[in-house]
Amino acid sequence: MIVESETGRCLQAAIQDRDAHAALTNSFSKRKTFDELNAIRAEASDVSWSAFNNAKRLLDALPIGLDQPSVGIEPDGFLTFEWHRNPSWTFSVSIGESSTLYYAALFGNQDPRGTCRFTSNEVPQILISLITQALHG
Amino acid sequence: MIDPLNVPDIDDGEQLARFVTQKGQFRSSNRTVTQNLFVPPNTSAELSVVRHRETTQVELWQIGQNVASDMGRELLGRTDLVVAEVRQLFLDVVKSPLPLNPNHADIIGWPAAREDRKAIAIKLARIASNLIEPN
Repeated sequence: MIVESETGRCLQAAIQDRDAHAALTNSFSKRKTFDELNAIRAEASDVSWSAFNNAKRLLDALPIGLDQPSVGIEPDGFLTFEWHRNPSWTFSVSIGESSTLYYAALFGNQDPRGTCRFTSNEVPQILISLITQALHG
Repeated sequence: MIDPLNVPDIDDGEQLARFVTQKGQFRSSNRTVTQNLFVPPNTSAELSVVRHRETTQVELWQIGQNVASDMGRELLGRTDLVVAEVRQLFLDVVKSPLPLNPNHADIIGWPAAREDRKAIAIKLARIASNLIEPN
């Protein structure tokens, strides 16, 4: 029993270590993008706090290991994340004050576009799929 | 500059300038422009551009300085587009002279949905020149 309990404690500690490491890695790998987002918020007075917070939440939810996007802003204060390989192969998603995400891509002669909701803290699968296509074809 | 009393219609062969006033409108790594430069606001049916026709470079950059100044921003550069290529995207370019800028024009024909506007803006970014920095 003691051994099992020790084992359990060790396992729990290992899991906590792993989660802490993952959170740290996630935070570290996204730091540059968060910095870009903060800089844009500081520069542009037309970005609302809601849009900014939604963008931060979306960025935070991006899976670890995914290439980080470039951050931009549209004229009406929507924030954008872009994954770009070349001018004919690019994907952009916009987020404003609501939970609706607006996306469009150019993959050679194809130009998929649409909307989806970002209500939980999970990135919609369609976005992951299009980001992967933008980066890796 | 174009004679304000005699503003001609816009030919397919004309060049247009769109001024860059924010860092997110171009990629510093390779000077290509992004779709953010071309998405018109949802409340707007047009996108402002400036015709090169009958302007000197000095005049063109002065217009750019005025545009940036009116927005309270710094002029970072401009990108150029050819009218015929814009029209191939099912948009149109129409003259829209302003009191101090007779070369002003609008890109019109934008769809209503934001995602459709983005899709077109990405294509405009593809046909636009790389960032041209002010002299």
